[in-house]
Amino acid sequence: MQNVHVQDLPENAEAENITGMQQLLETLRKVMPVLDEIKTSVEHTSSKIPKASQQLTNVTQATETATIEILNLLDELGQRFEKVEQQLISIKDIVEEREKKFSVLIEEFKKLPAETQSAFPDFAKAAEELAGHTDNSKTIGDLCQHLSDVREISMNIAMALQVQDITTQQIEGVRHMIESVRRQLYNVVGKYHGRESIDVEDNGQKHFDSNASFNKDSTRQDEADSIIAQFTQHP
Amino acid sequence: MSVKFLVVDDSQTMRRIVINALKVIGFDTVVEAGDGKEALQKLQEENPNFVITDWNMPEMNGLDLVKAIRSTDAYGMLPVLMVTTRGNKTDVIEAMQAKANNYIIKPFTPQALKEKIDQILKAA
Repeated sequence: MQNVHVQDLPENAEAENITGMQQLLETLRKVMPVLDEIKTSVEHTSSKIPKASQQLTNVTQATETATIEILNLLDELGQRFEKVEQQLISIKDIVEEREKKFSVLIEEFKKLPAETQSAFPDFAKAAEELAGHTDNSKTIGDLCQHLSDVREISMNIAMALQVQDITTQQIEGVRHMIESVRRQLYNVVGKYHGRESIDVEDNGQKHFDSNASFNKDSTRQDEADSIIAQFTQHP
Repeated sequence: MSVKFLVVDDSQTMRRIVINALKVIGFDTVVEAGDGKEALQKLQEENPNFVITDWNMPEMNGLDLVKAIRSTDAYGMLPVLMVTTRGNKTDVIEAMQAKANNYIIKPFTPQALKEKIDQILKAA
C-alpha cells in the first residue's frame, strides 16, 4: 500500500476537512432531535403494548364467559325440549289407546239396529264428527319429530361454538406477536440507554396454535386419516 | 361396554363441547382436566379408561401427556384420542409417533367423534 505524506496533500485539504467536519456536525445537530423524537415515540408506543395485550386477554375471557353462558342456555333448552318430547310421547300413547277404543265403540254402535241408533242421536252425530279426527296421534308424532329436529339444531349450535376456542388461539397468536414487538422495541430503546437486551421471543411453552382455523372442509381430516391408517396398518 | 372418559383441554368451552358430544353419542361418564399435569393426577384418582386430549395446553401439552401415559406400566395401553386445531401433516405424524390412538382436527362433529371412539374401542 502506498504511503501518503502531508506534503503530498493538496494545499486546500485541511480546509476541506474542516468544512467536512462542520457539515457532519450540522447534520448530527439536525438528526439528534429527530432521533430523540423517534426514541420518545418508540417508548410511548412500547408503553401502550401491555395495555393492548391485556385488552386482547379481556376479549378472550369475555367471549369464553359468553360462550359458556350460551352453552348453559342450550343445555337448558335441550333438557326442556326433552321433557316436552317425553310428555308428548306419553300423551300420544294415551290418545292412540283412546282412538282405538273409540273406533271399536263406533263399530259396535254401527252394528246396532237403526231404530236403536236413532234413540241416541247425539252419540251418532258425535261419532260421525269425531270419525274424521282419528289422526291425533299422528299429529303428536309429527310434533315429537319437530322437537327432535330442534334439539339437533341446538346441538349443532353448541358444536359451532368451537369457533370460540379456535379464535382464542388466533388472538393468543396475535398477542404473542405484539409481545415480541414490545420486546424488540424495548431492546431498541435499551441500546440508547445502554441497557442490556432481553430475548425477543418468549421462551415459555406456547399453548396456542396461531394457525388454528374454523374450517369445516374435511380435506385436512381426510389427510390426517390417511396418515393414521399408515400407522395403524404398520405400527 | 361402560367407558369412563377423561377429557383434557385448557378451554372450558371445549371441555363442555366434548362432554356434550359424548352425551349425544351415548357416553355419560366423564371426568375432566385443564392440562396434562392435572390429567396425570386424574388418571390416578379417577381411573378412566379412555382419554380425549387437546394438544396446546399450558403446564403440560397433549403430546407430552401421550408420551407420559405411554411411558407408564399402569396406563401404557390406555386409549388416547387427540382432538386439536393442529392440522399439519407433521403434527399428525408426531402424535402418531408418540402413540396416540387416533386424531381429530377441530372443528369436529359428534358423529366424527363417535366414529373415532368406535374405531379405537374395536381395535382395543
